Amino acid sequence: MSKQKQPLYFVAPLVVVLAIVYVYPVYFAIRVSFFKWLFTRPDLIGFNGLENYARALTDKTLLDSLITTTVYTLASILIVVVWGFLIAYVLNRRRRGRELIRGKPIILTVLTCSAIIAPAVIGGVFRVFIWDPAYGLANYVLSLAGLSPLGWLVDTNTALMAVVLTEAWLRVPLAVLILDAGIRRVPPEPFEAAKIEGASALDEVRFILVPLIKPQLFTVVLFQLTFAFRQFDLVFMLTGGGPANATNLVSIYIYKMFSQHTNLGYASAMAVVVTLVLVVLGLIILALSGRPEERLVET
Amino acid sequence: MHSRDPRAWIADVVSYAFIAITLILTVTPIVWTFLSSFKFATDIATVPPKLLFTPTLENYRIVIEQGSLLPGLRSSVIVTLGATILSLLIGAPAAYYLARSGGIVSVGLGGIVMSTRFIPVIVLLIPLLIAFRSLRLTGSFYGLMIAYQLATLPFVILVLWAAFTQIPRELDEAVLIDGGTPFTAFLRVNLPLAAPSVGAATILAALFSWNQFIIPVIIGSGGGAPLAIMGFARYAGGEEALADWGPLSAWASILMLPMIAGAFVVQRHLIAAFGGEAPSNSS
Repeated sequence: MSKQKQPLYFVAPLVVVLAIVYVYPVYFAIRVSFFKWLFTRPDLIGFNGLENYARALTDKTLLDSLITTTVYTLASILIVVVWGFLIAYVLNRRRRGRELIRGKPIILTVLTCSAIIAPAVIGGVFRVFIWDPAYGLANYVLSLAGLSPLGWLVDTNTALMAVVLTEAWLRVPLAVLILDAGIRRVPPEPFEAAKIEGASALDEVRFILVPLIKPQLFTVVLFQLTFAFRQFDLVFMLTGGGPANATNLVSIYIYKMFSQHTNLGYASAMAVVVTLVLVVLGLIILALSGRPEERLVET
Repeated sequence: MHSRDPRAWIADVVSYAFIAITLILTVTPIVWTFLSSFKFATDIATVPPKLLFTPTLENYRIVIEQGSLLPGLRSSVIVTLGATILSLLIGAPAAYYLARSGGIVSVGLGGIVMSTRFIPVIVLLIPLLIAFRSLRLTGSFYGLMIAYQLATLPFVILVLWAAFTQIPRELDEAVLIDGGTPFTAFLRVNLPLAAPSVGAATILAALFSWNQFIIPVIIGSGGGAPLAIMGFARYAGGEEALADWGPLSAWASILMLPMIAGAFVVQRHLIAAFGGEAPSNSS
């Protein structure tokens, strides 16, 4: 059926708001990235061509920050997808025609608790109650297991791991909800056929379940990609990017550039570079998922 | 107990254990923070962690007397309500348009809305602040409410877009034949039919608004009291908070508990909203 024309007044408010909060800032950021632009010295503002970009591409801290952010993103995607899938799978296991795990709605609701609390609050709380080297629960659990305590956020070797684990804690439940919605809609017939053929449980998961919930899996990956790559609140509250830039995510680095160095032109050039990296990563994932337009709608 | 395949039995036990561990991992940090908010300083920083202690409301008294919490909560509620309502007013008709119209406008707008998910918000906020100054929006909460649309609109539009796509177009045509306008078709027929999704979109918008941090940090609270989350962040980063975790946990509990209580009240909608339950456009 052909799509009918609708009057444009339906989208007029959206156009106005997008123009203010999105199109203008993007235009401004791109334009200013070709300028030397200091808040403190308006007299020095002037066009300087590609100089900001040249500087961004040779900025060792920016490169480190992009690497840190990529590790942060990939590690959290891995944990979120694997753990989220395992939980969703187990929640949907059946024994003699009924669900093995009872009370799924209440379990899902409890799981949402970590997904709905402000990441900034989680950061402030985890920094002391979980990751504090002396009194945090993480080291207490290690001591119960007979392991020696770690410095977590204050140690350059473990800080990134600790922030990734916190990010995963925040996002796994979201993945469970998305994947559960997918698994629940999978028809039983292919599994019955597989049983008759004598397939193992692992084969069922690999060759039937995973292909059938591929859209939801890619949704989770895309979700986590855009959340983690742009993460600011959580890590800002956990470490502020430290120690020694060990958790200096690009959002935090750009924020520091804005707030400390006041060279808006250079900060904007960095922002443009970072956004391009994220868009390319996103497009690769969309292309891998097939039917990109549909995935975009779902996420 | 029937005789069962021991391997199946082990798989079941592992399944239960796995769910139990996940639930414990999810709940412990929240419960621990909440419990700590009723502890004296001497009961908080202990090895091993104390489960039994003499409860106190001292931490809540400290946080409230510190002065910025209650005005901050008021600001947060106002901005959250305003931003949520604005998101629905803008997002619902736009989502309806996107679901019903093909063509360049629809594809272009949909693409622009989705592309917002790929740009670090921090990039947009300084230019936005400059724009707000020239639009004279920095002196009130309206600026923040508008800025929050960056975070809320994509989700509101996605949820409602999917919902309107599910509603048969024949209903619209019936309204038009009866002499109604496209707007009546939207308001009287489609919006009521999409009510569950409107509920889900409202919850998401309110959630994302309440949890915003970086936007108010940069844009400011328009001369009003700083939002509760800004006060929390300032306190959590200060010396006092690190010396005594009690008030910190009280402040965090006050910010967390309304969300958790709300989650249990609207659990079905919340799960549907996050799970993308409204079936997607089958193309």
